[in-house]
Amino acid sequence: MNATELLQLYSAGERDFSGQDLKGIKLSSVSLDQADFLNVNLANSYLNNTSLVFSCFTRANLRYVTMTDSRLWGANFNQANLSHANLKNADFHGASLQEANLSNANLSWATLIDANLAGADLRGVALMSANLTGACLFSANLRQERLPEEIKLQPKPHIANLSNAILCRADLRGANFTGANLHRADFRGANLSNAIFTSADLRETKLNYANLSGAFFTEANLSSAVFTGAVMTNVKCERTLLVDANLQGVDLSGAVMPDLKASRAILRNAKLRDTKLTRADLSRADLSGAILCGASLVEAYLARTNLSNADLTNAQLNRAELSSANLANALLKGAVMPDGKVYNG
Amino acid sequence: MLGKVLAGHYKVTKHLGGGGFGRTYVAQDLHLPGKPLVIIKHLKPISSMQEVLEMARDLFDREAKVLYRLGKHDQIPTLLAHFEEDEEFFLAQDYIHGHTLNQEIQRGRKQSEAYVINFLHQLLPLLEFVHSQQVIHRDIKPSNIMRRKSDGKLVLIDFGAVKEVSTQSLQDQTITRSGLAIGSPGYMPNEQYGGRAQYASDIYAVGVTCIQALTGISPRDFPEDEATNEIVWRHLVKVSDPLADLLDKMVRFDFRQRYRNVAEVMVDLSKIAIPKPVEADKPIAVKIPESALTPDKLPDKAQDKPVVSPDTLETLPLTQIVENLSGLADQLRVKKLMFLLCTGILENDPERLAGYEMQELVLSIYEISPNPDQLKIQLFNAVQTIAPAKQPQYLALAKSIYGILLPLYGILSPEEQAASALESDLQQLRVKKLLLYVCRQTWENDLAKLQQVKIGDLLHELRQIAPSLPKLKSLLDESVKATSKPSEYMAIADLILERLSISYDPDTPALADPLVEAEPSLPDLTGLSPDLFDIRLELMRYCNPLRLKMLLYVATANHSNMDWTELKVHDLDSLLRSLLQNCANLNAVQNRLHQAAATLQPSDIYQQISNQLLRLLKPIYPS
Repeated sequence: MNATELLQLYSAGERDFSGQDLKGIKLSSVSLDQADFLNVNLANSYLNNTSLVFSCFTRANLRYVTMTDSRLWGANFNQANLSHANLKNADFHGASLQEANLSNANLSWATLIDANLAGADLRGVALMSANLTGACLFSANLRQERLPEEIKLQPKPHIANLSNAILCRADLRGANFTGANLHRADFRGANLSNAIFTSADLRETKLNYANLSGAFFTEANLSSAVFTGAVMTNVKCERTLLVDANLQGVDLSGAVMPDLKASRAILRNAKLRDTKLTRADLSRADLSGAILCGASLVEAYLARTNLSNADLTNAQLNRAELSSANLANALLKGAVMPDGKVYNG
Repeated sequence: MLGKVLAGHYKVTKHLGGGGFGRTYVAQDLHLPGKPLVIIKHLKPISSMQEVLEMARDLFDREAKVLYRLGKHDQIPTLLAHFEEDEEFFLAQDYIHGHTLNQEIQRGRKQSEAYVINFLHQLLPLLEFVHSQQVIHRDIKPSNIMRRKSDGKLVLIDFGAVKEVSTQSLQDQTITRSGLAIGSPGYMPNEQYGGRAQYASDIYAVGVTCIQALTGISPRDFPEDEATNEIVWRHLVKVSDPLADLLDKMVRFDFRQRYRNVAEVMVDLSKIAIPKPVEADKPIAVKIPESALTPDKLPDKAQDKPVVSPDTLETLPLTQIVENLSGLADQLRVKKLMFLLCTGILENDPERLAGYEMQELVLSIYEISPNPDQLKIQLFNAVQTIAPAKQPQYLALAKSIYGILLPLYGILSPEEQAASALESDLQQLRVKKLLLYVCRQTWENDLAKLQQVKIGDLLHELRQIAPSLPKLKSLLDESVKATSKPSEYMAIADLILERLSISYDPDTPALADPLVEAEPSLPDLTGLSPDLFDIRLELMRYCNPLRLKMLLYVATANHSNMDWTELKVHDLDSLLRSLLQNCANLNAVQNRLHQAAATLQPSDIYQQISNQLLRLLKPIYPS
């Protein structure tokens, strides 16, 4: 079937094109709303600037397809293969892409508001400045590909790029963002519990009111990120960068944060009960009024740290650098001091 | 603790305050005629371990001895007793009738040069005596200096039984007791932060107190030279050079450049003449100038130098605004931001910035931004031009500046609104009494004095004591319990809380980020509204997300004209919340959904979606 035949059938009222081989077909700038393309082979085809509202592409082969600027509202791409597809500026508003393969696809500037991407393969995807407000990325995979040496030399970076992406209220539970570029992404109100951000670039992200409980930020860069109102219980932050981050009033109880680098971070009134901050660099950070009861600050670097009015009851400060810290009105009852002795007035 | 009788004759009547190290109470001595009041200090042992307990007692005993020795001085409270009861330590000392200097040295009140010179003449000999006993006070500040009612003399209080330097390590002139920083921020010199207080540290604190009295600015907000860390204050107020030089030498950043001892300060002080000898004889009669200088009662001094502005601007509450701006922390940044707003130049030279009067800047901002909305946008744009890492700090400043500048446009800041509402309340006297107690720990019954107090000033102080609403609530609760009529004052506390909740509410910032406003606003995720992530996930698994949204849109908008742009603006989460908010029970949800489904095509698909929705929303409504 060629393009002309297909369009004639469509205008005659035919909506079902399931199972057809439409490889390389050119259907640019046409309207094919509410058509069915189940199991269709559309590899290398051109569907750019095409309207496909409520069309169905379940399990279709759409590898290397061009769908730039297309209108894909409410379309169904469940389990479809869209790897290496060019989807720049496409509008997937309310579309369903469950378990779709979008690896290495280009979705930059795409609209994915309230789209369902649960379980999708998004490795190496480009989502720069994409709008994913309210989208569901539950268990989606955005992990950086581990490549053999020879492929690494290729210019194309196999890193999911979500810089400046909007992910407000998105469901990202358990999603894997290892090594992803999330610079300046907006995660406000998103659910990121148990998500993995190992080595991800999260500089200047907005994480206000996001749920980050149990998320992994090992070696991630969260410098200048804003966390106010976020839920952060039990996060894992080994060797994480939080320089200049704003964590005012955030609850980090039970978090594991050894070797954290958080100089100049704002942790005013933050709750750090039993938090592991071994060897953490908190120089010039503002921890005034913070609750650090039972926190481990062994060998922590607290140069010029503001700990005024902080509650350090039973905290462990063995070998911590504390000499220039501001401890005015700090509570130190039962704390183990740098010299290894229990604090006594 | 209240009502308890200690050592057989001290009946605790009132809780005065307490910090991390101990608590202070007022008690009556039942054994003496007239049952005079005493102050009881209660040291909380830091651990129940036997050896720690012994060490604490040892230290406490030794320090009580120091205080006993010091207390022989007329201007230091006498130690009456120190005792141990139930393994806890207590100290009884004279109750001083009078007021703390907090009432004389206040934010926004500029004291005269004569006041400061008198203050130094009175306090320095006292401090010299303390130092001669090899004791460093380490916490000199207005709230620890009292003016005795009987003779108007200064009394140095709160020495510490609990925050005293022990005599043990006082072998030399310098004290090298390594330890923790104890003291109050703003009044503590640099070396004290490192736990190495010197005699010169007390001199620093006295100097800071003097500068605070002259400028009416809280020490935490003193501008500092970024290069040298020295306090920059001379431009804030007119002071004769000899006194300014003296104060400068008292507050040098490096203690080696300060006066080495009190005697040296006194030598220089003796060379300075008191400008107005009339007031010098009666230091207690030093007049406190009105704090709120509204334009209609500007003092003569300000009228000599008329405001260089169009006639229309003369009605502006400029003085108050400038004063409020000067009260902000980080003066340098405040000016930097305001200068940036006026000129578009990010000026980093503090000297050049100092060349611009705050008032000039306020006026040019008023010219640039004719209305509050303009001001908001321009402030935000100005912040956007600053390095991203510093933007959050400047945004916070911009918000404060916005709030302070609002009166320019005839709009009161939330705090002023609260103040004027409370001021006009029928219960305003009780409001004042309670606020006075919370802020200054004094219970004032004198009507004339109460009328002098301005609620606005008290709210300012309150803001500093209680920066957050929960903290404010607990402070008020604590104070209410200490009053004689807790039930009546609880209502007053509630009134204060209600009025202040607007100005404290972090969710309604005075300056909202305009970019955020353009986006769909975030639902109230802080509230206890159900977390809809699970419901959304389930729904998306079974339903087409767009059809789901269309159904919810029709069900909540009450019309079936599909506006695609609007549908994109309202995300699924907000549509769900809007449905839940509009329906009191599950039946209402069912009716709305079924009606909506009937208007959409193909209606059977929408009926299915509606059934799924009902199934998942059922657990939210109590059966």
